[in-house]
Amino acid sequence: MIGVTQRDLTSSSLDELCVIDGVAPVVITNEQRDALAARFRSIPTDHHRRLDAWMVEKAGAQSNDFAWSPITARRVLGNAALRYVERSPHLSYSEAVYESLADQLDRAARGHARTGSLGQWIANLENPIVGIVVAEATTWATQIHQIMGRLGPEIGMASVDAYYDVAGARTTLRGRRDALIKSGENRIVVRFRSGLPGRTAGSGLRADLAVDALADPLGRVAQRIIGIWPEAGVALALDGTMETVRAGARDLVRSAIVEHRQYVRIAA
Amino acid sequence: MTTTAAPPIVTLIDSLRDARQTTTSEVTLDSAGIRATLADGIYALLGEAQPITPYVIRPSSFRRDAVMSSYTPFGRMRGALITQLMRLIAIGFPINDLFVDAVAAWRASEGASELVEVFAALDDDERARLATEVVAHGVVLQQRLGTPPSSWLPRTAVRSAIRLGGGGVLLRDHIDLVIGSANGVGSGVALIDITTSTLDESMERALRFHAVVETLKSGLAPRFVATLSTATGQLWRFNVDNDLLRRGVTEILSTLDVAVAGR
Repeated sequence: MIGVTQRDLTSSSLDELCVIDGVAPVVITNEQRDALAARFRSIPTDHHRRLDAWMVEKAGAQSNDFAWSPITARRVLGNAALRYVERSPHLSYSEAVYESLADQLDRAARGHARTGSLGQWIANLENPIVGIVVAEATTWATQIHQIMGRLGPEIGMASVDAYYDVAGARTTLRGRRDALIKSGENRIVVRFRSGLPGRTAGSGLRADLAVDALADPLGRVAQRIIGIWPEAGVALALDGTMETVRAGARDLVRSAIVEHRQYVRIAA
Repeated sequence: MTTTAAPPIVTLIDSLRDARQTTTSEVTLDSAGIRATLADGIYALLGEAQPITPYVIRPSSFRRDAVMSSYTPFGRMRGALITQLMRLIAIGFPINDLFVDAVAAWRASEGASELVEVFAALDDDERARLATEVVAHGVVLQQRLGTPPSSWLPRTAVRSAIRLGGGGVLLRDHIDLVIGSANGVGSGVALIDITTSTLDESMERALRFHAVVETLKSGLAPRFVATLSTATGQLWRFNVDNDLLRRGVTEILSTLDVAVAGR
């Protein structure tokens, strides 16, 4: 597979996307990490930068207007619910969502949830809104678990997103990953996305793949990243080649430059 | 005087439970076949030129002429509030006050929107009228929907957006309640539309549209499409077969034809 591959969500297409026999494993070296860190250090910042695929897709725009809502909460709660279902298969999706909701409330009650966090937001919701939050997260969890079931038995939920703090650059990179298909040393990163894939969707996947590789202590690059848009019935896939990782890292550096320019403009 | 027990109300969920026991005809049309037919039809209508903005076809494209009252701000608010109640009922969430709970849930789901602003600007009389309508429709919903068991995998407010014709046409859909699974060789999925209007032929077209979009999205045709009118309590349920999907495809192309002619 060269470049971004697009497939409909038919069973044969999903089977095809899971075949990675011909993709050679690639590893990021310490020299490459150092070179990337030097690039980030060369971009001045007076605050701690947080960069992710969303910023790459939006050409460095900050998500300042983020607010919790049933829709923005569904990925966190739904994914946590699916991790519960993997541990306790007897749980229904909605029961698992209630468990993940209870975890968030517990953290808020113990004072462990920071201001503006999901736990704090849920703790202050009216009862019917909690119902809609549960409905939205249950729908998310059910939909993505149904698709995961078609991606083979080796798929499992990712325990956390990938985070990589760039040494000495006051920069944290975040790579979102919802599920992983692991077979021996090989792995495929799976992302589930809302809406329709836009023109920059491939760049977002490249950034997620690069951060996933950087977060791996041995620098192992996943053989493939698959982005699935359930609402559109479409999947995009990219192979984990060094060229792809380099492009992903370049996009993240470019986002840092754009973000810096925006701060400078605001400060002026 | 003879008294008889009132006949039990058959809920939509009961109706689907019964229907699942019966065998249905094999659906040979798949997403590839439907996509190819639509691609040919779209090419015949649009040619090679891509429109600057895509033609968007949604369920309302089939209902516009028939039920204008549902598309007034008042009708849309009523529909939106009933959808929120349906979402709470579908997951078995306790409802204390039909109107108050629906409004709280709707405002959280909708965020800032033109319709929320219209709601905020309602005077006391208008708000009371909306409240009584929502409660009346909500009672019918509670009686006639039923709560799907969690093993039926209920999903609510499921959105779809399918690009066709190289992006020149966009099929947008929103299904109130989806139940069942499409894993394996066949599909046990049922698509359920809740409407606050009365049921008519345009609703049939909307149901066929849902079936076509779901087939394109998941790669498998759903088994049933159904609708419940909270205005009358009427239930309609259709088995999805090749004929229903073919009609759905034809109706999408005719709707596109009208839209192209109108630009």
